[in-house]
Amino acid sequence: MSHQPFETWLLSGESLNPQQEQALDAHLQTCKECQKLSIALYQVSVVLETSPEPTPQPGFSQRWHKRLSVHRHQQQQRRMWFMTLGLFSIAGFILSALLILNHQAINWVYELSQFIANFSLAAARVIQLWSILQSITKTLPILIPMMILLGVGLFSATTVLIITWFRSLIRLYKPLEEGVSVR
Amino acid sequence: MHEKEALWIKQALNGSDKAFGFLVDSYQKPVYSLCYRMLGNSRDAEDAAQESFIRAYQNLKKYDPKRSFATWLLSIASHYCIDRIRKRQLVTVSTDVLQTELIPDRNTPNPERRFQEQEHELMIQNLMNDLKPIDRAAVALRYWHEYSEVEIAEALNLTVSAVKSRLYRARQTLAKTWMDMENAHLIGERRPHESPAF
Repeated sequence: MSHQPFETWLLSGESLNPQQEQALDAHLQTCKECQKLSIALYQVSVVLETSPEPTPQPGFSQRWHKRLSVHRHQQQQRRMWFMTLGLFSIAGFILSALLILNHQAINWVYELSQFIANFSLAAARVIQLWSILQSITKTLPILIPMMILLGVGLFSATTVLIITWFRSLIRLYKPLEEGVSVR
Repeated sequence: MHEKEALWIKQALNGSDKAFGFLVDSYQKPVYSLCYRMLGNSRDAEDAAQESFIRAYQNLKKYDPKRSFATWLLSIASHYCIDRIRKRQLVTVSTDVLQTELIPDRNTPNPERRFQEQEHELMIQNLMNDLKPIDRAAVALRYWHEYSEVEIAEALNLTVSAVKSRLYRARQTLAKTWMDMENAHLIGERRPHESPAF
């Protein structure tokens, strides 16, 4: 027995005109298979449509706010890692490029002799500076406290500058507060 | 669109979490319900619904105010659930979760009724498990959200004829699963007050 077009009518879920409905009813009286299909479809639709709407546990939006802040924090950390990694990669790339470019131009013997010469010159300068300092301390002992004061002042200024620099870095990487968009 | 809703969207676009929170409050039920129907358990549904709202907030700039906000949100949720089902490559629900959820709490006021409800849920999940992820989304939107074929097409980025053929195929699968369940006597006709143990 042919089940068409009755099977298609049943499964399409579209509304039928009176003639089609009559023809379908007549077919269902004689065809057991289509009858079974019709009953099954009806029962499935009843089961689906009568089921209660699932609802989330109370406090859904509070949990969402928490999740949003965690998500932002992770995003911030990821961004920081990418930035650091990027900077290192760029620096590494530049150094490698310079090394590759200069590899053949470098005269290692010349560079080594230059290094030794510069080192000896620097050592000689340090010795010279030391002797000047000795002569100053011998001749002008009054300058020592002033030099100490100047040194302490310079050291304090440098420390303050370093602290300020670190504080701005910490503030830069600090997670955003709620209400501040990341976009 | 509701005036308040338009205002919340505008404020959320300017970075107000509180305004988007109001939208979460308003749409938590339909989004959670869709996720639950697609994923089959409350734990995954909660996670998927939360994630859908995060994605919606992040992509709020892409939202077209001419479209329905609910359809846009459900579109995000259904695509997320489809991806999730595909990733786990398992259309069936974890039996552990279902077994745990099927045991009625002794402190529930009406454990018999609660058990029947859970049995009903299990029946629905058995029916849904045999459907392909996109078909599952189409059925959920059609039966529980009463979406038209045009709206389903909009939400799932399909053509209307594709939606029609997917719903046709889904009904065929649902009817077959139902008949199989009947043959396997999974759909018992328990009398009221009868213990679920018998």
